[in-house]
Amino acid sequence: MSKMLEIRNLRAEVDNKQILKGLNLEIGAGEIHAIMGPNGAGKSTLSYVLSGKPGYTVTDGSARFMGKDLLAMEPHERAAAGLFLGFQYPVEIAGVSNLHFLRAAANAQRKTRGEEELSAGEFIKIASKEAKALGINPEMLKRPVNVGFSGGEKKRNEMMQMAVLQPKLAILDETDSGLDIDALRIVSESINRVMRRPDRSVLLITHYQRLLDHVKPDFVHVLVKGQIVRSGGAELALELEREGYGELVA
Amino acid sequence: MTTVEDSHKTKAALTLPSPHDEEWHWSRLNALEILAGEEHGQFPSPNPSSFWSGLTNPKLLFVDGVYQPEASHPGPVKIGNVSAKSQNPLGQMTNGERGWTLEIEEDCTQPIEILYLGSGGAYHLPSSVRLAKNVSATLVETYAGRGWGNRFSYFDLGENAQLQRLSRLSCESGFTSLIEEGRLGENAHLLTDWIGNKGADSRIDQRFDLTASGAELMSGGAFLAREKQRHDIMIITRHVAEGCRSRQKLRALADDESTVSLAVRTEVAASAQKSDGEQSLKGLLLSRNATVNMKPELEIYADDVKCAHGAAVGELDPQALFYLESRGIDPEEAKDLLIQSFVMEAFISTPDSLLYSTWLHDTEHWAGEKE
Amino acid sequence: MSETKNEAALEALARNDRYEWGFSSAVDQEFAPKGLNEDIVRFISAKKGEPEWMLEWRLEAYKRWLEMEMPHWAKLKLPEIDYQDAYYYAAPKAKPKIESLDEIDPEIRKTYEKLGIPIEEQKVLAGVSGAREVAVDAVFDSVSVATTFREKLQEVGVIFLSISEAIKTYPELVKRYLGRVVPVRDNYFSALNSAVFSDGTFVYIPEGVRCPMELSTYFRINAANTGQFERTLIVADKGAYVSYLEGCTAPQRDENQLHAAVVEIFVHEEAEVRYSTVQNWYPGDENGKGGIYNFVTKRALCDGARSKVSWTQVETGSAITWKYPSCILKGEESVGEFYSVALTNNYQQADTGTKMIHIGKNSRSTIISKGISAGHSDNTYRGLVKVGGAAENVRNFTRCDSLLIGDKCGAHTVPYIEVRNPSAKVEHEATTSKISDDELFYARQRGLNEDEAVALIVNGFARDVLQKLPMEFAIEAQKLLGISLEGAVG
Repeated sequence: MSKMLEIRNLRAEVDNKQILKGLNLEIGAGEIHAIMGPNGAGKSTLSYVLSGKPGYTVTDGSARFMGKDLLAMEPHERAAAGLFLGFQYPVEIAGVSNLHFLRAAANAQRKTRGEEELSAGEFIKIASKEAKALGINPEMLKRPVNVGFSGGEKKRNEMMQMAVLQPKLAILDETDSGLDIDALRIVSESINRVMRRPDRSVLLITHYQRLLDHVKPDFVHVLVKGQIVRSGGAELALELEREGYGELVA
Repeated sequence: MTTVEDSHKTKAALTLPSPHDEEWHWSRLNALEILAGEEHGQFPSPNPSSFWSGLTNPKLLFVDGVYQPEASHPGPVKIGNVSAKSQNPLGQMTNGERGWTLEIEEDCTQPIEILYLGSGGAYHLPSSVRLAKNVSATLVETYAGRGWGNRFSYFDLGENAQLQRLSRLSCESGFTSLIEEGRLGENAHLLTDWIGNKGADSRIDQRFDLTASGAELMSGGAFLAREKQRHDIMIITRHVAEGCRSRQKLRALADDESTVSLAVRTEVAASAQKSDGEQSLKGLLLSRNATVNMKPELEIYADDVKCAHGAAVGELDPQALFYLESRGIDPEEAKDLLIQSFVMEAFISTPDSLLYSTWLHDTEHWAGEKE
Repeated sequence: MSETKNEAALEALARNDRYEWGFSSAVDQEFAPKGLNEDIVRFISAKKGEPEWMLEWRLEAYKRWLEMEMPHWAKLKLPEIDYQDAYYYAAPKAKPKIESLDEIDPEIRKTYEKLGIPIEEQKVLAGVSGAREVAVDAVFDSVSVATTFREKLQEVGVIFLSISEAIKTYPELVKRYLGRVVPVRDNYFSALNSAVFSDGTFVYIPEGVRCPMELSTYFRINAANTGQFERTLIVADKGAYVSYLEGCTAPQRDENQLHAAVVEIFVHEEAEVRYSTVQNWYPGDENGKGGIYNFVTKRALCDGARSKVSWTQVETGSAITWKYPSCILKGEESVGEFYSVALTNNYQQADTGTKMIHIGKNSRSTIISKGISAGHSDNTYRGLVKVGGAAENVRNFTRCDSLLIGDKCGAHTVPYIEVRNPSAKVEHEATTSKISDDELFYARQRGLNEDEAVALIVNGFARDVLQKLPMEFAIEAQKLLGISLEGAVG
């Protein structure tokens, strides 16, 4: 069986500036990986390149997602194939209710996969259940997507979308930032509950150990200047927390 | 004294457009025929010194459009022919007339004051300001007395140059028309404030094409109208180059049977991406028979732009009035205070300058005279 | 002759399937001779069997029209319109008296089925329980072909008829109100309409009656080279209420067709009229060929105290739209509302907005306008808020937002504000924006394709207005916005 994600010698640039400089990474099904690294190392760029954000140009290398050429797919096709990006800064969309947005997304993905669309009733049931699990007030489902949400609410909203969409691979870009301790626990539980399964994988992008206390990674990678310079187990994160990136950056 | 109001009986040789010909103009230019036909009166009617600041700086006096060397210290300003020409129907009338020019290569640190006194009848006076790269200057122009003063101002600002200016419409009666045109270089700034606080009717036509990137055109004005006075302002700003900014902040106060009309049009050509335009028009009606007309217009052909406009007409906020009164301020003073704060929003040049203190003086003067 | 035209249209249809309602029906048509003169006006009046006063009224309007000039102040590139090169009367030939939808020419019936709108009401006819009742007056080219639910409405005294029947059946009522709100000489197109209107709808809601169902007119231009000039007159007597829906479609044709309608609404004391339009006339193809010229005069007079009118429109069709549904707020405490979504794509031009004329004390108005421009189109909001000297305590709030999709289109906002009373409070806000790349990407990351993502964001942008529409219309309008923008990005 092919890997969940295989990245080979990935080079990418933004505004003619090389950010990823030959990145290699393999994620197997059922694995949770964490990428850590100093600011500007290319962590968010990696998440955008994998999800196909316009403006991010791949100049070399390949990325395969469950055996398929990820880089040849349109952003929505990647989503339908099961790739989910938890945004570091979730976007506000005025006038479109959370519920409507999510149902449109879920049904578009189901349609692309040739599955039956969900009725409004079924969908509300699913969404309400997930909202409740994340401590989201069901009223928030009716509010416009992320408009007027606090930082923490936005992140929880991302997790609710993930839970409803049930992706194969979730790339979570600093999902822990802006969360207080209780919210961090709730978000972590949701990651474990939804994604900790033999056929699903997670790529956590984070600055801090504290998320990894709750969502225990199988592998930790250090990204510096567009390359993975070191990989290890969960203990690597603890080491970085103690000693910083000092030597690795030099 | 002939007022503009009762003078539209005669038709004469001037070929000026009527409100019927012009889109959204409310001043009756055909009434100017009478003013144009009148003889100049006795000079001096108002005392020039009451309009000057106490500073030792360049000061120029024109009486009925004629330069008065013995009463002036022109500094860098030259008197004579002005090469810039206008296409505007009113501006055209100044073409070929003697006027003044300011052309400088270095900063002019002191503000330049120019006073135009009218004794009746009409004068047509062009001017041209040319600032070299990185040069800055400050200008205060005051219109006082009577009659019709017709002024065409041309501006040519070099790269990164900055001109701040204040125009005071302080004539007791008659008509003041200001036609303003020109070009702004890259990152050049032109900041204009107008204040109308006396009895003459006025018409302002400002029209600029922003053809160099990063140019900034800021226009602010407060127009305080009484009796049957009319102020008629039209500003057209066309963004052509990328990344230009324009602001129009106009405040209208209309009392008695007066009318203030504010028309602002911002055009953004397809080439003018990253344009930033904002129009803010507000009107306060102080009497039952006053009128405020507004037309904040946007015409946009580029998609990556930030353009907004806001317009509001109303009366003084009774809640605010009550709040001030409940703190012991008498109603008249409370009203003046609120009018003052309403008008202050339209001042866009640097605070802490001669422009600012003059502006403040003129708004207070208006409020004071009302009692 | 109509058959060859229809064949041509069907061929055109085969070439281009983007305009979903672009079919034309093979209905046998009867035409008046081409062109416009006094004889044509007489012909139309005679065809309708009108009384003498009506003919006089038309002839007077025709004379006025000859003296007038086409207005050019709107921000529209108006082509020369040859008024002699159009048919002013086209009627389905097989037209006996029709009592129910079943009796209509099956071709016309099929057309309406394709249009989708009267489906609800067909369900009712078929005895489907629980279906909502909507009474429909269908105007096919120039003639009203079916008015349904008449009996049910008559029980409560509501008159819902084609206007030509109303002229014959209730001449005094029509005479009393026709031209009261939109005088014949109001403008070029209202004069033209007054001279040649061939049908339309008349609604009268008697005192104190709340119309038990929504009333709906469905307009369809089918015949080629035909102008459609329908006339709608709605009168809501004291304390009455009615919600009225209007839908429009036309087949896809290479040549332009003219539509110049007049809608008049007279609202008495404490009455309320809600008027909703989804306008989807054929907009022309992606190169700007063909399409309807839509010059419409719509006006409501809030004559009585506490009367209320609410206009809601979704304008996605027509090559050219010239339309300003207005409110004259004469009654004290009367209320006027205008909610509009105007979408232009390809080479469409729209100049639309409203006039709120405040005459009565304490009258209030709200204007919400959402303009969406894509392709090479131009979209203008033009609106007037006028407060008369005697109108104390008037309140107006206006919000106009423009959304640009692409850099070849234009968005324009031309508000006029004229205030003559110090107690008035008039506020206007406006913004211009584009669909941000971040929004698009966010929606696409969640699995929506580009068109779906654009449709979603545009619907969000237009939401404040869409939610003012009755349910069925809102759903149709949402779909329309999406379809009209397909391929606009990228």
